Amino acid sequence: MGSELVLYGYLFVCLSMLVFNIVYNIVFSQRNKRLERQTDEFSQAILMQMERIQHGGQVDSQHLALLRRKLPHADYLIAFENALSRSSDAPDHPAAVHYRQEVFPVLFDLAQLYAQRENMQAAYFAYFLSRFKPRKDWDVETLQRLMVEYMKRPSLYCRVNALLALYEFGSEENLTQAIILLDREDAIPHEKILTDGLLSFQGDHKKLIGLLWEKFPKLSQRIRLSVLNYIRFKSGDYCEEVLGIMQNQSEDKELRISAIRYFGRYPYAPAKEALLSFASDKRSINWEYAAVAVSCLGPYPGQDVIEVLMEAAHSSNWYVRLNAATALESHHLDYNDLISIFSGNDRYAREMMMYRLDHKRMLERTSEVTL
Amino acid sequence: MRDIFQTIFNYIGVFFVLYMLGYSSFLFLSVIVGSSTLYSAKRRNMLKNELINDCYIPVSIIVPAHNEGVTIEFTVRSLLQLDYKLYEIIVVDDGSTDDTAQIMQNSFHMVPIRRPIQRKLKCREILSVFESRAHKVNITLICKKNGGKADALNAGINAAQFPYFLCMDADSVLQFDSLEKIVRPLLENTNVVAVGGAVRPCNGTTLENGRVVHYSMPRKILPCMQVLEYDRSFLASRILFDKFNGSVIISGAFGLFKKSIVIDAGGYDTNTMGEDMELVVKLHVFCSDHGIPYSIRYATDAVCWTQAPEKLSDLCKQRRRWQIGLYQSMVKHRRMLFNRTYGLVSYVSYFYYLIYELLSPYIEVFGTLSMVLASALGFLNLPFMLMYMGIYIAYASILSLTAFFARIHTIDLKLTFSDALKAIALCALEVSCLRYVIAWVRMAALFGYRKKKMKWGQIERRRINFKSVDTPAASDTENGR
Repeated sequence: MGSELVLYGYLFVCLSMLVFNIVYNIVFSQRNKRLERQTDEFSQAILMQMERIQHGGQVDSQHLALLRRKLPHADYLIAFENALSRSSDAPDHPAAVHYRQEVFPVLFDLAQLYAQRENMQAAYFAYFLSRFKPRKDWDVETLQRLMVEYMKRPSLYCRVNALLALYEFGSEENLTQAIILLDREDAIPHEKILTDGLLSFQGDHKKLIGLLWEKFPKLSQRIRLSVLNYIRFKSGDYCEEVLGIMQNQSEDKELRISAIRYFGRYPYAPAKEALLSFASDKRSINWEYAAVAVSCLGPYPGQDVIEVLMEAAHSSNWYVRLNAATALESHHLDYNDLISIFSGNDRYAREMMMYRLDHKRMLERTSEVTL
Repeated sequence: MRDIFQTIFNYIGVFFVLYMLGYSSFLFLSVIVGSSTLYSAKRRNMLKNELINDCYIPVSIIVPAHNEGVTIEFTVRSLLQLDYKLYEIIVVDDGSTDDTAQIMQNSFHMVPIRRPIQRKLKCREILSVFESRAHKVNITLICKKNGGKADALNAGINAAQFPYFLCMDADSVLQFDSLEKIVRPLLENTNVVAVGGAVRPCNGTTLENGRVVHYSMPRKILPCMQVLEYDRSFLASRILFDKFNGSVIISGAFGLFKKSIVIDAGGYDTNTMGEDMELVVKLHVFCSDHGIPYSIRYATDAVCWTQAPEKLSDLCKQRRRWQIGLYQSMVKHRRMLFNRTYGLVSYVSYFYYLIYELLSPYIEVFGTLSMVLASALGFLNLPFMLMYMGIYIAYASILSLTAFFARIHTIDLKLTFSDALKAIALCALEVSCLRYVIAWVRMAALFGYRKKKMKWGQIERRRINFKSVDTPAASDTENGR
């Protein structure tokens, strides 16, 4: 029937695959050994140059020529990066900084060269730059502009690694420009990638936030959420502006919830009324606002806050009850203040308060054991 | 009469040739696609084409445990070694009759707590809750009435505080970077609702703080053959199906899920033995029916180490359970077959599992009986049949070896020469013998199924050879307890 011929054909391809496997393994183990050897050579060369620097010298021009010759190969770039991280336990050591500064001009040519390469290699170069830890006061402008160009490539990893490099460069203007570009290209699939990245920015957060805030109204919903979450972790100077977002009913729900959280972190008296209003909202459609607002009321003093929280402890929503019990705990009320809950008819509210009480005791016991 | 038999055997022959060709083509395609995917993933990782910055998606790890006194402490200790910041561990003691709960309480300084747990999913009565804050992450122990693994997982989901949960077996160990790797697809695509990881047998392997410090093939033949079988199935079908969002199985030993969508879909089905497969098929159906854009992914580099049964009787129990689970899931969601609403999952994945997994034992046993009958009646062309079988065994063995070596090379495991020889020697045995034993067990699984459908059967538990900084090696404490 000829079916055995088809099987013979498959068998041949599979045998080829197996041979490929074996050859690949041999080549790969050789490549690993070569990488190790190249890393050793680079490490020795770097140490030698750092010794020269420590003795008042400069990086040898031959060393720079060697780097120019070898680093265009991705394998050598990997070895060089390994050697850099191996030879400088303290990247801020003056000799290490001096060495990187002198080598830095080599990277200009490399950046242009890798910009022409396939996405994977370009992404690796961007990663390499982020690990190189360039200082803001070096001549980084051209490289930063190139990194912004890297971000136009249709590869998530290239974009994310270019962003990593820009966080390290520490230029607020370039990073803002890059974020606008990202927004235009709709290039970041998850807002957490940007928020967590921004938190690692090595420049002036205050200035960056200022620049981002200027562009804020024009940004897309997802990027605005990332930026607002980032601001929440880094600055309490935007209470008035964030209050506007929180109260604007036409804003996106996630953004407004992030704004509510902002006031949990930075208590702001003018926001109290709005928070109480969210917390008292019993409409099931608004339970997320209520649950977050209740959790943010812990640092706000006042009988009105306690009354709203006591009411929220009876909510039909599990999360609102849990957050109300937690917030009440932070008001340091005694048993008499909470007697209406502990001895009331609402079993759900009572159970939640009991749980928080047990939880508090457990934490106290744990810290005693730790001490 | 002879002519009639001749015609019947001709038809049977044509059917089997087509069946074998279909299967061989599928295996061929999946191993080639799987191997190439692994090699390109390795190159990508070398060139740091991965999400490197610290993005931590909070994950609740749920460990259902029923009479897992032997393994539970080491499983939880291994979870405490994970290289990840934002997670919690929830152990659900599903009505154990041994000292599982006591071991948990003593080993992790757990205290009873009156914690109200929201019943988002139905589960059997929760008897008590214990918590511990004395470790790197929060540990919760839920003691409930026995209701089966699916019921325990539902209880764990109810108690989970984070938006994603990871289910695993109490006798498995996660590699130190597995959590970081399994959440990456979520960061790359917000439509991802579930991610499966790679499960590897750990018999013969030594793990230290979640890292493999010594890898070798198991000493016993049976687990050794299972290593080859696992690699073939994980590398082959799962990677291929992942290419078109067609995965219908995420192993119960290691899978990550979006909690809200699982709750909306109704959680784990307590009436099936294959709750892991049933959930994934249900997610396909739920998302497609409700027009929810979704993706179910497979993370090849997220590794979970598990114990392969070392006794044939244990292996048979396990495979019987899998076969019944497969049957239940496929019957329950039978409207998926050739249904345009579900796209390629329906036409490729479901069809493949129906023909080459669920029905394959019957077809294979029927084939064997046909051969015996044909031989008795003098219709069998014996030399041709032997040649055909020989080619098939050689072919399937080479595919197994390709999958095995591709996996070994791409996850940087070192294999000794003798282990490589062992793999080569055993692959033909696995394809020609073990496969038929398992086929027989799977075929028999559905006989008397209604009577014994929810009986899991006990499988002998051993501790995984895991060492951590704060605990002695498993084998050291075995006698000291």
